[in-house]
Amino acid sequence: MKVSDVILGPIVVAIGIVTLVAASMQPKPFFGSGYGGGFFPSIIGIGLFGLGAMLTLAGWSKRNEAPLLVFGDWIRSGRHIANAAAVIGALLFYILTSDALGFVISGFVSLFVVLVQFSRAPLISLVIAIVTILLVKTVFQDILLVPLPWGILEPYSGSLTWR
Amino acid sequence: MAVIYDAFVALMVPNVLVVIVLASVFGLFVGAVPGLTATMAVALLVPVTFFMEPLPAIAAIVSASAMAIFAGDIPATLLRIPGTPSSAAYTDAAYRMTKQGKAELVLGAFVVTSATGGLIGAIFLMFFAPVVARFALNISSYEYFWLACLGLTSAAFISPGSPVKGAISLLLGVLTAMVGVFPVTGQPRFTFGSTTLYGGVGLVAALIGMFAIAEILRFALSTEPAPKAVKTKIGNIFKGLVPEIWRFRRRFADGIAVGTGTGVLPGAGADIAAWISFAIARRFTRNREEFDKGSLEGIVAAGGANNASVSSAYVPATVLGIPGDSMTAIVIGVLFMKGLTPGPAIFQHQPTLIYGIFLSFILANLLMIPLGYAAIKLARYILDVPRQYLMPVIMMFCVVGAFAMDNTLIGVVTMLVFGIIGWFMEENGFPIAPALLGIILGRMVEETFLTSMIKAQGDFLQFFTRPIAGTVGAITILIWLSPLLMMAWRRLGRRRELAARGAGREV
Repeated sequence: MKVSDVILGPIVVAIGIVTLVAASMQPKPFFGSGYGGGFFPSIIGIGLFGLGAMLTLAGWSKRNEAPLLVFGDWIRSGRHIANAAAVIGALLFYILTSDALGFVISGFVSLFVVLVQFSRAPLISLVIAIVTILLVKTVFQDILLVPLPWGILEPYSGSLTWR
Repeated sequence: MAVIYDAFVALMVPNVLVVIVLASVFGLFVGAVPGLTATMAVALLVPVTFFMEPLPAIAAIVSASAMAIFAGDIPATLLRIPGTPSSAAYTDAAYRMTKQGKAELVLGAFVVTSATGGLIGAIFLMFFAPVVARFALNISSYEYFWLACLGLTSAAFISPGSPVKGAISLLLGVLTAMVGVFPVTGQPRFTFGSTTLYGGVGLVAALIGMFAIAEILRFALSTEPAPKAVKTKIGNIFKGLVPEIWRFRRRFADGIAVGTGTGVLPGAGADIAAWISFAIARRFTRNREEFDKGSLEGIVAAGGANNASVSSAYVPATVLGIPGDSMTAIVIGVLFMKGLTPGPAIFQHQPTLIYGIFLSFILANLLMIPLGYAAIKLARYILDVPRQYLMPVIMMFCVVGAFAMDNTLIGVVTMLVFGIIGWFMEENGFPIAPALLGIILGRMVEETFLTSMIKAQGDFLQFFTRPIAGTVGAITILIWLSPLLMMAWRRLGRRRELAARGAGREV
């Protein structure tokens, strides 16, 4: 997805302005050098403002050469859009449900969906998803002691781990 | 010398050695699969190293990065796809030789030059870094401020593509670093009212997002068909190799020297080392025709250069805490997480650790010959790994890795956000490495500036009156002004030309 500099430039300028405003709201220190938490952010804001303006000007001078927005070939392929949607969707699903359902269930669903979407081979995907989840659970939860959420499997946590 | 012996003993512990071998195999695999970069290998390793002692943790990163940079040459030779960006410089040259049926020779040259380059870089690192560290003990926050500025500046300027976009990427990284509690007053800053952001944006989660999730998204949207490997039987890769390399020994030496030098520069990494040394080899070749038709000359130079720079990038990283490339940036992050502050003092307080890191470079580069040989023999299988299964599995490891850093879901959210931003930036020609350096150096620039200002009681001139600070400061400001000076110079030149033309017309 190539966006023209004529559009990206103003976005960077806008980020710069927001940074400047946010920096000006930082409290001034009462003691010390007089440089507060807003000092560096305001330099960054000015920098982004200036660079964004440069980018806009550069894009404007080439406005006839480059279209405003060019999508990759994937825009015409429903499958590729679904691929990306599956990755982002699976991650969002994991973020939203892992506390309630637990790592094993949420992780399995996320992984299986992306595997099937990428490969179109449900049986192999199922095997890979199960093996991966078990491997990750064993390595991270049982060996490295990362507190991955148990979720609804909490009552069975005693029998599901060898620790 | 006693220190080196201690470090050697510390390294020769069975579990450290096992970690090094496993990390090497991992690095070889990730580097050899097209679409998985060396930085991604390191980013994925960090959550695992989090649970190790400092020495095995860094040794694992060292071996994985050295192996991945070498392994990137394998798909470059067999598929014409660089396995990591640092193989891109000579991908065409290597593939041209493969088509002439010389794949064995090229792969053999890559193993030998990579290992030699890495070894020489490591020896340079081992003897040069302590000298610089002794010198650097005298420097204070003023010098650190300018060195961090210089690191940030070269990150933006040396990055491939448009310098404006490099600089924007850098500033966005620095802006990310500003999130969290402001160290001087203890006030929260840019935390959007969320207490989970008081500690700042999770570095590891952000870099897993930028380097792994972004890559998975790119794969998901890639409409290119899976690459087909050249079906060539790989026999003895070392046959007839020594005379060929000996023939180009001058280029080889040049390449290693260029790579070592590039690595020391903050912000310039293995990919830039490979580009520069390949260009130099082409410029100074005696036989340009043979060079372009397919010869080992450029390959020998650049293959050694990128691995040499991986080693020497640890000079600024360990001595000053300023990353030489994106992989050492991660190493600095890991050292901080272990409660160790990279800098000259670490050479006095933790000499065993520092020399252990240096020795692990030597060990990793020695291991590269047998393991690299095995990887080349197995290349057909590695390159044929179905990526439609591999990518989702990596995604799952990313999720757990991002979670494991502080055991909160915020890490996973950060990873997703930075993954999408990273993908979008890369699509539009914004380089990612400056953003990473910005995240790591941003805090350092601010802290050293404020400390210096408090010490100097607001007297800004203090930044220039100390000799080293003044010199580094002047260089940094000159680099900042260089685009303006160049523009003025060009405009002046054009005006002169126009004036000359105008004068000509009048006559």
